Amino acid sequence: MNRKKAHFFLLLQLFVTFIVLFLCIGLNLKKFSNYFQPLGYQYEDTWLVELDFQNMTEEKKLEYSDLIKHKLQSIKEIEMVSATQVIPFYQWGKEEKIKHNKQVINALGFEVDEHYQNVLDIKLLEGRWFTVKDYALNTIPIVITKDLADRDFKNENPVGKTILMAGKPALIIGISDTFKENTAADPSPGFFLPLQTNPGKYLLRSKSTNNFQLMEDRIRKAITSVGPAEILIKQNISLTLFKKFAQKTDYIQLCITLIVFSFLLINVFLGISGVFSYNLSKRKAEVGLRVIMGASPFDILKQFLGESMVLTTLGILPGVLIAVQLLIMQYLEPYTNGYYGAISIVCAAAFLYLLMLSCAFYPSLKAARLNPSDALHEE
Amino acid sequence: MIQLLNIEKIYRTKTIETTALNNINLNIKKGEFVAIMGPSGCGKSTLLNIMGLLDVPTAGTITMDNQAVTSLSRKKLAVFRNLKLGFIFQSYHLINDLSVIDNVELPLLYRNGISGAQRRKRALEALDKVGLSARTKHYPNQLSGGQRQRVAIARAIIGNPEILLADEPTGNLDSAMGEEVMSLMLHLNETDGTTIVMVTHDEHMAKKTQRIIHFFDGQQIS
Repeated sequence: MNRKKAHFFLLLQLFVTFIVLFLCIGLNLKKFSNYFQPLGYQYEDTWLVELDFQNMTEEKKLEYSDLIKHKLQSIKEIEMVSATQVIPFYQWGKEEKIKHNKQVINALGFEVDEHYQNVLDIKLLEGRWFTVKDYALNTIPIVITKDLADRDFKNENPVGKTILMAGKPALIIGISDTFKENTAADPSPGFFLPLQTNPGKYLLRSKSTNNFQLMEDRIRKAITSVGPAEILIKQNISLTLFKKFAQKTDYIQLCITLIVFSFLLINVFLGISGVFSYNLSKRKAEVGLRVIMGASPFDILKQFLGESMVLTTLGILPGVLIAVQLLIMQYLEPYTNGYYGAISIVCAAAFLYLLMLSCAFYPSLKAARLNPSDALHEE
Repeated sequence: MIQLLNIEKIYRTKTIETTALNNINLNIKKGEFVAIMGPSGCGKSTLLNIMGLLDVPTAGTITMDNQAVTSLSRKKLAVFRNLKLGFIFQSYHLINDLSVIDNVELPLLYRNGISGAQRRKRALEALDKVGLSARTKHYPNQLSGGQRQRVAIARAIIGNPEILLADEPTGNLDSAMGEEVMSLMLHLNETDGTTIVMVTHDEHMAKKTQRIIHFFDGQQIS
């Protein structure tokens, strides 16, 4: 066939659509699959109290930290309190560099206190959580997440190993289960380490209650009773609400993606249908001739649908090669990986074959129904 | 070989009714070479379309090779055309995107049980018969008018049809080329016994055939 020039725009459109589809499916598929992975902690009946110490010095802040914890603990509806830098659905860990076996590894550092594990009910797979006694040691006690252990300690048991963190030795004393920022997030390869400062944030595990107003009042009273007027409550909110906000953001993102995706598909459908109809209208005489030579209507339909499949293959082939290359080079990490990338290649290709079939079917059927002598004289 | 009985063809629009063929009765014997002549618009091409099973008569019956073909389905008509009929047109109707040999192979593409190698072999034989075996890889727009018509003849005869329908096959050619094409058709008629029905305006060419049928205003006048 010598129609490459005539089909150039069709092939270009198929190529671009394939790349967009591959990225859209690939990036959202992994996020979607994350919804089915456990968070690694319990967030129900957990509250965040965030305080503003205004111009208070670090020493004074530390001084008040234990008192605030004590006051919050004294509320009868509260089971446990933890001072922390890390709040699920709201504030996550900081990127840290650690040195292990002479290799520098990037991982998230979660600064939390000794009660954090119990407040969020984080499951320990091995070893133990740090206690106040560990703070007196020369090494920093850390608990690494399962995902960090799987990624960087493949052939060894990390518990008992010492690594370097900002030049200081840190002893791995336990391995926690997976730990995710929110439902859509990837599990975080990271480690928990004791708090260095008073972050002004407290996670409270309450007994099950539906009376949020009462809880808020009790928390406010407890903080006020601490004393200094400069300690203000910035926010006092349940993690369930944070999760709702985070999910709302996810839904909005998903809706925008779907709207853009639908708009793109409508355009592509109209574009391909138009180009295909135009190309076939230019080949009416050929259709007439083929029918005269003995082609049945089914032969004509088969030929044009077959051509549409060949064109689709030619259009998406460079896209598939680029997509495979991107996956091999791991350019799309952490947004997608080889597994989801391969699925999205198959989905995008299957989708385009179906789209092309649906675009080509009606014009091909029209061509198959042409009166041969009329069609022949179209030339 | 071809029997047309009381054939009528009327084209109707909302306001106009045009009679293209009126009560045509025609009998063409096997191995006959017949020329159909008449002024433009007298219904010659309509008759050829009806004989070629490309158009359906408004009334009347057609029998070809002892088979009533008027009531055949589109699929059966396609098979019948492919096996029994060959077509040659004034403007050749070759597919410009296909090479000469691919154009010639076309009718065999729609015939079951013929492999690619067999198709190629028979296309080369057909091209050899019309003296174009050196041009197999060329495209139609690289050939002269006479050469294109010879490719069209090769395409028409590749399936060994019993009937060849030619619609002004020399109409677009100069006299030398026209003679060449005409002698090819005469040769096919004489050596292979192919029945040929040719529509022409050229009396000189028509005189070379065995019988001339004259048409006027949709009616056979002689």
